[in-house]
Amino acid sequence: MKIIVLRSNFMEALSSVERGVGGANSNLPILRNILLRAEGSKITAVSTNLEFAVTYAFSGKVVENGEVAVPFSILHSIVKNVSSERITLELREDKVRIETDNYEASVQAYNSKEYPIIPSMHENISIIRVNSNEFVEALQGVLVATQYSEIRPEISGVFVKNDSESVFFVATDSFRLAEKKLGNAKYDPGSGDVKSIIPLRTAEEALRIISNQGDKDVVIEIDATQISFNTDTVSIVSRLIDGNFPEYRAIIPSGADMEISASKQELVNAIKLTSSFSGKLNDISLVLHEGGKHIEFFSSDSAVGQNTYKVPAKIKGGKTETLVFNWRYLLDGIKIFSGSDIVVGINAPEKPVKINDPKDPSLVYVVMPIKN
Amino acid sequence: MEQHELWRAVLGDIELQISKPNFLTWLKHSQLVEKRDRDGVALVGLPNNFAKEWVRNRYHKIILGSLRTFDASVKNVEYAVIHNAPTPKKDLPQNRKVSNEEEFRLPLDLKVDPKTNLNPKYTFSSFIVGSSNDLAYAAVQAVIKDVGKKYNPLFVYGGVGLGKTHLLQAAGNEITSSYRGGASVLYVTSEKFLNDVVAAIRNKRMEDIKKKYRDVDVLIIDDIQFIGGKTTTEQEFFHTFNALYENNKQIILSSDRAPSAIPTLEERLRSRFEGGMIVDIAYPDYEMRLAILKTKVLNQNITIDEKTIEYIASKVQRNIRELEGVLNKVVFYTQYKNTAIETKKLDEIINEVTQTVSKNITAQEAIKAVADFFEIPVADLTNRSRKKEIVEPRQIAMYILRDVLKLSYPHIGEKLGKRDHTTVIHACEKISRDITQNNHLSQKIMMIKERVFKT
Repeated sequence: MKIIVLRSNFMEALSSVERGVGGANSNLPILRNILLRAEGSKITAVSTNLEFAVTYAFSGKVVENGEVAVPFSILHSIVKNVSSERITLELREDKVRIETDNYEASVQAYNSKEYPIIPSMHENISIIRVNSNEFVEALQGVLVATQYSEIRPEISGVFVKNDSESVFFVATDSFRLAEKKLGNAKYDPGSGDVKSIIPLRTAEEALRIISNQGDKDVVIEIDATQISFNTDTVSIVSRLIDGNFPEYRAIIPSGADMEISASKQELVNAIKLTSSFSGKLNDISLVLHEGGKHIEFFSSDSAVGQNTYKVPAKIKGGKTETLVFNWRYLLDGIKIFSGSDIVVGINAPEKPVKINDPKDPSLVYVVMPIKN
Repeated sequence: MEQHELWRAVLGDIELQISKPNFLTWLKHSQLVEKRDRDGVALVGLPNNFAKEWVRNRYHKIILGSLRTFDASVKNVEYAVIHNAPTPKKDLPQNRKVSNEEEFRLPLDLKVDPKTNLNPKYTFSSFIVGSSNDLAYAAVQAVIKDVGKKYNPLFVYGGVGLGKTHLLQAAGNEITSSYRGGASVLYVTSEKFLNDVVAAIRNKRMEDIKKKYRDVDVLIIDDIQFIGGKTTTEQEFFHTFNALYENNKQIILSSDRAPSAIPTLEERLRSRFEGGMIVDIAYPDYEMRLAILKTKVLNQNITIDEKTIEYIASKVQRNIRELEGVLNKVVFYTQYKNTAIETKKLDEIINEVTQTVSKNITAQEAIKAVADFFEIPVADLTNRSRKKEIVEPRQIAMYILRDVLKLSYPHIGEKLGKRDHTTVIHACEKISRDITQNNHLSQKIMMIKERVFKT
């Protein structure tokens, strides 16, 4: 194998596959390598940690076809630090020679035959096509609501499901839940019903890689055990989480006894400031008066003191209420909306609270108040 | 050779041929799913697609070769991803903090009503009534008809896995649905009650407890025996009890034994429990066990032959939960193998589920369990005292050692204070005779046996 690549292209490929590289504690040392493959005019870099795999195609001059596995960290620091734009890589017996105008290195490499085979999907594949920007927006919206949980693996990921015209992305850590609906998805014929759970790490990685891709089509392929996200240059293949996502629809309140609309920025400021007085539970209280003109944010801690912040708001319906929230969950939820105003819907104090953007009903955030 | 033995042999062989990291990564969690005699195909299950691709492409020859050296009937190997691959699972963290956080979780577990804690899967339609529980059933029905007035408190007791929880939850569900908008029901285990008391004391919010437990129309507490000996909780429960009772609110309790047999229970609580209606659930008889199995089979749309059902009903006698466990395993086996189950395998499954691990229990442990049950020091059982309150426990200990551990009479005598073997024979005969006549004694023995198996 012999290739000549531009440093910036190579760097982009390496940073795309970086997180897929196996960690130091993996049983199999070869996972700390990436697979470079040159074929015709196409060069691909592949990494996998056996949970998911990233394949990234980039351009360069292929002098001689071939493939080899190269230790990632060495290759990465070379490409990061060399000053020339052109880098030549050549496989000579069991070593890879890396050359620029003023630098040369010889790196011990592995036979590509020892590198894991990236599994492909064959049967009963459902194919969904979405726009990359919308995909990124959807994942960004819901990912705040989940976290890794060993106890409940079925919720430590992003749930994907579809109906006849939309795809839904849902995430929860059981304290809050976010759902994003993508209305512009297209299905390939033969696609079945999708109800799959993407592992959290895969979702984060897909978000990171695809957000660097610009405006493109993303093809999502799903079968019984695997999911893949593909654009014209990158492909991420991952296992799915085996389990049943909770029947979450019934949790999202359909209406609200009391509706509060307020400026997003004001709310964020109020939560950030009042939270500095909150106690061990991260609790802040919201005092709401029926027909009132503002929300009172209140928090106190016997060691620090107490404070109150008034945010102008429109309050419709309901009666005077005090609700207590974990301010982190509240702030996370408010931040995911891109509009300038948001609406908070409240039913009884022990019922879930719904937050959304009045202009964009596709994203919904639900959070449970703390009972007191 | 058994399937898993065959696979273990194959893995042992392959381990020598490939490097350790490769073995650990690709084959450690593999299993032999099945070996089809029809076409000689062995199906190997692997934990993920990476392993499947790799093993199929790289180790196929080695695996086939190795399988054939141990079992010449294997013609080919196929691979599949299996979901239930053994993955390391950690125990749930048992810290108290969780219960605090529970308070503001989203109700994701929609099955359990967050307000009443009742699980709708428990209904009377799935509750089988027979001679062993008809009294309890009737009492519960009477309570439902006339909440808070007829039998208050209602105290249901019986051994493990006989349907106490089912009965209590079904009663709760029935009351919730039949008194529309009127009755508020709260079902808790005594552990939950205890945790609430502890949390309330810690947060100095005792009024929370008062509000939560005294504001209901029906309070159902499962496994009440566990509050025995926990003074503050008992006290709090006592006040709750009085508050509810005086306002004609219904209280339903369950326990694994009668109030008089909970030694650590405070006298004033005991007398209150005994003031209402006490009913017991006994072990189901053969007809009832058969009826339970048949209902299960009918509800789940399973086909299973009559003989097998009768056999299970005759073998599993003590515990309905075990009965269902055996049935589930048998159903799984027959569906998976697609053939009727043979008696030998059936026995194996029954033993597996109802396993009495007598081999691992030492005489010391059994004696200690008896002593603990009667709350006397172990030394009393082995000394020469002939007080009445010591003699019976000692005889029971002898009976248990004989019945469960199958020790010889002289050996038992040796263990319990160098007694003559004839003394032991007398004790065992006496107890086995009394058991048949004295229901109270047989209850005691059952509970002691449960303790013994738990150690």
